[in-house]
Amino acid sequence: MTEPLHGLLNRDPVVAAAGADLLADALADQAVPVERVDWRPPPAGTEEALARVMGDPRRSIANATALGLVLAVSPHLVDVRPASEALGLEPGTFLHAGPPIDWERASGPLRGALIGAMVLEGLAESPEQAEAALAAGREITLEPCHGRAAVGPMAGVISPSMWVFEVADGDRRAYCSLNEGLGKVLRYGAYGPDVIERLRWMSAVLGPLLQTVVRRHDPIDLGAIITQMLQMGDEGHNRNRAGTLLWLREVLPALIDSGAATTDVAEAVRFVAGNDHFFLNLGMPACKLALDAGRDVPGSTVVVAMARNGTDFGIQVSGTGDAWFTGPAQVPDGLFLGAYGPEDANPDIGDSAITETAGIGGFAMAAAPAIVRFVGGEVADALAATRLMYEITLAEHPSYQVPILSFRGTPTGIDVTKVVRTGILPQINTGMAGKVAGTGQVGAGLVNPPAECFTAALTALADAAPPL
Amino acid sequence: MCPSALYVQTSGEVAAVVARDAVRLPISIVLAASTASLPFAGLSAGQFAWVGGGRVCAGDLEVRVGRWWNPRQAPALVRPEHLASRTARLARILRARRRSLSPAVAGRAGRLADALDGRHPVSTGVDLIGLGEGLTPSGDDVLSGVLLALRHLGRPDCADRLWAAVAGEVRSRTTALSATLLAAAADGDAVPEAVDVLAGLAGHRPLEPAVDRLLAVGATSGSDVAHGLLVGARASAP
Amino acid sequence: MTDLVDVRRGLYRDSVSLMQVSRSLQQVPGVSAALVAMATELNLDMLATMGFPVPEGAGPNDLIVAVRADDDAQAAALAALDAALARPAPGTGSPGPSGPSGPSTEAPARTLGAAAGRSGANIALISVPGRYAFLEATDALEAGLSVLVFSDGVPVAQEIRLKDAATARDLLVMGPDCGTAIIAGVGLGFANVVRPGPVGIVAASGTGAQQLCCLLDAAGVGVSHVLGVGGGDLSAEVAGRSTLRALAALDADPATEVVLLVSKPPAPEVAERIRAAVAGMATPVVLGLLGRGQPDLSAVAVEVLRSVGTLPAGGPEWPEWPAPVAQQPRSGALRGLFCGGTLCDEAMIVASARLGRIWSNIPLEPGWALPRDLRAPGHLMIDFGDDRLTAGRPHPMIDPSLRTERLMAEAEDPETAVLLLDVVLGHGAHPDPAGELAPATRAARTTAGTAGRDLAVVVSLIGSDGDPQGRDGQAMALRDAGAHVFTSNADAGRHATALVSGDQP
Repeated sequence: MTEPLHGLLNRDPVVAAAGADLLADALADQAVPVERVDWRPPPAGTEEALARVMGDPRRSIANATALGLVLAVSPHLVDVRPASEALGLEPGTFLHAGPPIDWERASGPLRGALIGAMVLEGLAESPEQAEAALAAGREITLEPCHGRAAVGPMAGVISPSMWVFEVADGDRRAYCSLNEGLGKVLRYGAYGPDVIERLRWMSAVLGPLLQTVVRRHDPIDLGAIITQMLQMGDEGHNRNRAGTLLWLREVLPALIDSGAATTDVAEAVRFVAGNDHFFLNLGMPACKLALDAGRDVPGSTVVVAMARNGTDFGIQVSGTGDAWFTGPAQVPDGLFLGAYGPEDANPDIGDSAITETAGIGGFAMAAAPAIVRFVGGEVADALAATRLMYEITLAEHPSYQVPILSFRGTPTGIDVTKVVRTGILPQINTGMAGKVAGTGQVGAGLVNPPAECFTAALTALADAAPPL
Repeated sequence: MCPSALYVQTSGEVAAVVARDAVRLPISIVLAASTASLPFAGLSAGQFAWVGGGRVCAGDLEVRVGRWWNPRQAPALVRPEHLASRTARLARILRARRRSLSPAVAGRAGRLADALDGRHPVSTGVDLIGLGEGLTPSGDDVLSGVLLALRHLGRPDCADRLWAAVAGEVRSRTTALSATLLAAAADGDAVPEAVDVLAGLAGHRPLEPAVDRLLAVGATSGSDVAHGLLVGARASAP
Repeated sequence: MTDLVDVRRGLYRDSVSLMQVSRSLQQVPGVSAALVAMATELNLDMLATMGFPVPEGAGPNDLIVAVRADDDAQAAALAALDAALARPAPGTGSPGPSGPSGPSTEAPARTLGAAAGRSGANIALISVPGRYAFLEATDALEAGLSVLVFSDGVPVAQEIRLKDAATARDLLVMGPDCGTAIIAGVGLGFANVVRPGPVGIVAASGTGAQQLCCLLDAAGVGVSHVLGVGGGDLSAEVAGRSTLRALAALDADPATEVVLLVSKPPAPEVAERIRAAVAGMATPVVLGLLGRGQPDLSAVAVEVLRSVGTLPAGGPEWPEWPAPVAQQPRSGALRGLFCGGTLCDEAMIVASARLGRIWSNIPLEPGWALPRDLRAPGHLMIDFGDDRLTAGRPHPMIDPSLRTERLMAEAEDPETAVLLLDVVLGHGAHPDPAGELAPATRAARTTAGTAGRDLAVVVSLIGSDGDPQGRDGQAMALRDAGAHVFTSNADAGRHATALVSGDQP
């Protein structure tokens, strides 16, 4: 026989209190431990939708199911292939970051990246010609990466001839382009000749070389690398230095042993080792792979994607299928390169917020004290940021852990209801692109999604929930 | 080393002041603070204390009563079909954990067990009082266990008789703290760890984990109480 | 003299805290009026009533600050405001003596689910505005906590959903609109400090349970637990969901020897379920059903004392403190001003048996309902704790000002012959109700006396020796102000009734 009510009557009460301080004070006077909630009302007008979604009897099981699926994914790098082959991309089709958008509304960096990709693909002789063709839109298709199991950082443009990483767990697949480095690069909207030349080298030399290496190697456990990098000062979004070196260490013997020309090998190693963000394009598909496993669980309020196209910020939620809930992308707050300032920055852009969606990046800020200044703040701010994210998430990641928080698992699984109830928005660490096409990177910093993404998702969840 | 509990002796009674996570004697004033905060730092044995008006003051420590608590109660309903087998299991657990009584205590506990069977007068229980060392001597802990088991496992009449036979000797033979705890045991009140073993014997909760928690109390106190419970349970089993 | 009206968007404080802030502002010399409140419709109305301009676009999640002060007092008022609003964030008030272990301390949790995860809590106490209570309660239940919902105004569909969720998880929902509970010696909400003992109470009436706890305590009998279930639990819709669970839990509780169920008579089909449950219990059950034709609370207490075998010969004598000058029968109206709904109800039942019609905002008969202005000739009783009078303001047990105002008005009314008041002590209640009410009583009697009338004041004092306010001190302060003080509400009602019905009390 177990005690009824979980032993309520046989335990010394410990109370959690939300509401009038007076009642919590009365408990403290009785020497009762009281955990007080800093409660604030949710935005006016959301009460009914919140009640309906919170009262959805499917919700807690659906969320447990979705998160169970997400956390069970073990991402491995299995191949490197041209996008035309891996993603079935036809000439004239371009993938981009964030929710769907057309040329008309596309921001500067996205336009710049598309112009560069047109030139790369040989669909235009010059940037001017490319721009005209894109504006005309004939025989050009723009699609979100997310719709094809792919992700791309910043502009996130993937064209058929680019090579992509293929990350797998069983039959699941996720893809991401290869990282080009920092500064004037396509993903930040630069499309100058050196940008195109580098992309050509990546397709001609780097991609095939990495394909040889990866195919010879056992699948590379990216989850294990992410676990380790978080303990080495990376957060997996704005700092990927340890992850990049861990990955390079893993493939280096096979690279040397590949039989490729030693000059190519040396160039490839120099390229990877010289780019602290190389691993970002491996971490992102690892996160994408995990989150896609949590999609389409009816009643689940777990966010499975956050992505920006430079104009709109969009989220997708497990219980609402492929619908995007969007709001205007915000301009990040942070530090600027050289003489650039806030007026030069484009609004938030890129699929890289998939890292935060999966519990790393800004959510693991406490793991990366080395970059807190870079993104504007002190170490204490980093700890506070990660701790705050536990308020809006449903789980602690079993293997992604933060040493300084006593190896607590990172906050994982953003819950739409918690975001709306608390008004706490996910914290995203991000790079900043120049708003004029062709500029490249202008800085890095912190940004939040617009709150309306979450209230819109809540409304859709409420419409799909049974009445109370 | 910091004191881990404060015992305040008034005219005849002792009150314990303990941290909220410490072993909760039924005579305890429980603090909101935990052991880790060293609530009794700076106090030393023999110091004067003031008790009254809802307060206990000793040194820099001032304790104000915030509420009353009830010692955990043993379930009233004993399941006779469980008692005999669970008593035997308690004996096996104590053997397996190699927790035995000192020879002197064991001998007198055996005599008390015989007395409960009617072979001696129960006043033989007096021989256990004050036997052993420390604030709560082993013999007292055994006797507490016997009283508790009789009270809660179906022989309250026998508990009353035993207590009537020994009560007069308690004050003169043992420490004031131990005497107070014996009186509480005679009323049926004990540390929650012992109450849980009683609930286990009565068939209301798993026995083995409860016994392990009781054995962890004090250096030998928990073990001594457990042996007493065993004696009392055997006398109560049909 | 300048009016300052300021909107602080997105700044939230609970209404009790804001009342304290308003009060501290009003005490600044040179300030003639001040209101600091969330910009709810009600508060915006009040702002307008006070003659302040109503700011555009302020909503219930915004804080409005309105101060009318001499020009040279403005700065002091604003400083007092900032000091009062800058109270430490919740949870940081009492840092553990061991100190934080991490490099920076954790900010307070923002939802009950998060708070539960941090503290190992087993009970959630929810007093957020009623339209949000369901969210927090759901969160708490999912985290494995039993819940006390102090908030009122929770839709019944939500109440049912919560109670079903609790059943599925073997937890208990106390409330909504649950004013009191005592669990393992801990008083939650409004609760009196009473000794531990053998009586377990299941209560659909908060002040009813408080009266019983205090009467039993006065008779030397303690309670094991008091489980509130909320005023609506025994309605036909909710069907006793929490009552049944609470009864079963107390039946299994070794410390509980007698169970007492306090409630208005339930809906007939619910009554049947309760009867069946009670019949299956091993622990004896005393039913304290409140209503006309039922025994009053004091009689129920006697029944409980009898069932635990501690009824003194001749019955218990509930403590009382007669007025310094014995109160004499007089003609005129009986006016009852109450904080506790059940106490008001009980007093009306007692009084109407002799006096017939009693006007009220919670009338015994539909035809006896008070108009919106709460004025009527003849006998009347008002429950100031009624939802309609507490919307947007603290409960009168915390803030008695509305009742005190009415008390003074009644003193001016030549028809008022006897004033009947309740005073509820215990955790959560006003720290010194007699400190407010005794001077008011004195002033009221003086006002009446000046007009050549003797105003009799009768007080029903719900409290125990152990209450933080101290029952006896409160009683003596009220007696010294000229009141006759009872601890039995029914006795107080009978005494007051006798005074106006021409009998010798």
